[in-house]
Amino acid sequence: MAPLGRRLWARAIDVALSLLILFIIGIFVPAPRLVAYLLLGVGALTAFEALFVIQLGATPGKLATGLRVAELDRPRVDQTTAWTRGLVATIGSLSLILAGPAVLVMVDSVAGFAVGGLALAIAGGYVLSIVTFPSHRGVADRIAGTIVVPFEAPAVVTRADVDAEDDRPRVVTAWGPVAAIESRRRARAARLDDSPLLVVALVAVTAAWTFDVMAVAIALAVLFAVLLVIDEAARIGRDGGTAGHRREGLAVLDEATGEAPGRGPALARAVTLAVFWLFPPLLVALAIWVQLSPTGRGPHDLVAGTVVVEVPGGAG
Amino acid sequence: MALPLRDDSPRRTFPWIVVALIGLNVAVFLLLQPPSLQRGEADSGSLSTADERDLDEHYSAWGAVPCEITALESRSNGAVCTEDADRPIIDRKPVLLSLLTAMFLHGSLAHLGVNMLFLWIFGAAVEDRFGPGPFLGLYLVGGIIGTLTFVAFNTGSAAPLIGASGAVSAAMGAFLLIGPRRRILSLVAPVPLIAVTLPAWALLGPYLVSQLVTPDDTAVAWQAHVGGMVAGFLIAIGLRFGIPEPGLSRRARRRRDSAVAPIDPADWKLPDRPPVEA
Repeated sequence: MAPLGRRLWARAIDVALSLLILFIIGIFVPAPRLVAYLLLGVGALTAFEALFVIQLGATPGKLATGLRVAELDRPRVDQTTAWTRGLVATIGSLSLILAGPAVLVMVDSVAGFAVGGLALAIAGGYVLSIVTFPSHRGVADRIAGTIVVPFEAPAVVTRADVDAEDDRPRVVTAWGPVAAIESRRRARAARLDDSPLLVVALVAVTAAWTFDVMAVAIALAVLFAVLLVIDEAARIGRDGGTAGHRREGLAVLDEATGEAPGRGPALARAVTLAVFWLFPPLLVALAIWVQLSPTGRGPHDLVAGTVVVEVPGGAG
Repeated sequence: MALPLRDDSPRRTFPWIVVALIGLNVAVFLLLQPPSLQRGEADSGSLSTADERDLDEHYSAWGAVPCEITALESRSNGAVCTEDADRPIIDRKPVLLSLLTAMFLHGSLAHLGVNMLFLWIFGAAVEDRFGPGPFLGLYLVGGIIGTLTFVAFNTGSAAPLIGASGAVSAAMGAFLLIGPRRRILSLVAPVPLIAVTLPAWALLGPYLVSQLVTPDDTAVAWQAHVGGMVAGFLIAIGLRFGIPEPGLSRRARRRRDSAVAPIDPADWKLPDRPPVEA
């Protein structure tokens, strides 16, 4: 909605003001307290962003370039929304400010490479999200549920308007719409809700880890992984979903028949998933895969020929 | 090893005391404690000699030194320590006050971070149940009892005890009483399945066990953790008599009940015909 050029000018003005604030904080916090300086900086810049948005509807840079922040479906920006947006935007623009020093730190040492690389990655991701996402709604806007619009935009910007500009249609199968990634994540978190045996096994694994006997801890972790795969395959094969899926109103169905997939495919699915569980950074790759897939199916769904759909009316 | 991220306790009010305590601990660590701590030099062992002496004096001045607390007077006034006697001796140290100040000091960013995370997760729920005043009392008294437990196990030592762990353990002990079956979204470290909801007993039970089997030669004051946790549990029993469980609104209770109600797999229906034209 808001043109990109004006967005960038607005951000440039805000970054200049932020540098002024950081300079003032630097006068009060002596140099060796780097973490204190950074934390106070984040707090002050968040307050700067949030209070301007709450009181005037936009930060000084946006006001100067004729832009304002609008919360979707609301006439004015809510307090919590403004602070959330302020915090995310601050982390983004602070990494942007620190991008230069980050490059210098990266050549310094291994730890410096990691920290500087993280700052660069955050700065890059923040800028890329604003430039490439639909309606130029970057990470901050998406997390807070806001959008940056010109002054003359209608007083209430509705989610439907924004979705209409979003060019990606919702995937619908013969058995229902494909589940959103967020509800699939929530379903996964409630995975152990009706498996007390697995909870006990998990407690054993965590407890074993503190006894300092590596072999036992590893053996128990492997045992837990095997139990989890078997349990997952049995439940999905028979019921078409786990406790978490039921809570979220989702079902895992065979794409061809619309029935629960049965033991064989469910086992293949669980084993494929286990590969990702075993090395948690891979879970990020899995999430991106599912997000980018035109049919909303990850590798585990492709292997088993299944699809995760929302059950009409919700299952529970 | 399991890190809690979020719990499903009902929230009726904002946990002001918990937030204030976290703010206080963070501010003390970042602004008042020696800057070498936040630069990570103390963790990596790259302290200069002057910084190291500075840090030792700081801990001895504001931490709880067991032999001083046993004798109820500072070492400069004649308290005799039998272990670690080479620690710096501080003039005019307020010994009783150090029971309190030790609770707000931390030894590293990781120490601070883990303690504050546990305080936020477990403390907020306890504050919501008992109210801000009683919670603050539970936190402070639990922390002091934790420190005294540590002192009782090491009466002759001059090695100072620091950290909010005892007080945070008190909040965890109280949580174990008020909601052992509440569910906590946690990161479980060395196993697959990255974040799952676990009942509180599955987190706090192994924590207590792991404290009891901690070897004595580590820098962890496990006695303070156990003492704090038991104290928190007992104080919470007392508080529970005095402060009846505040009634949730009928709507909130219905929402809570419907959220945790298990679903019989027999009722779990799959769509039997295509709901949309494909």
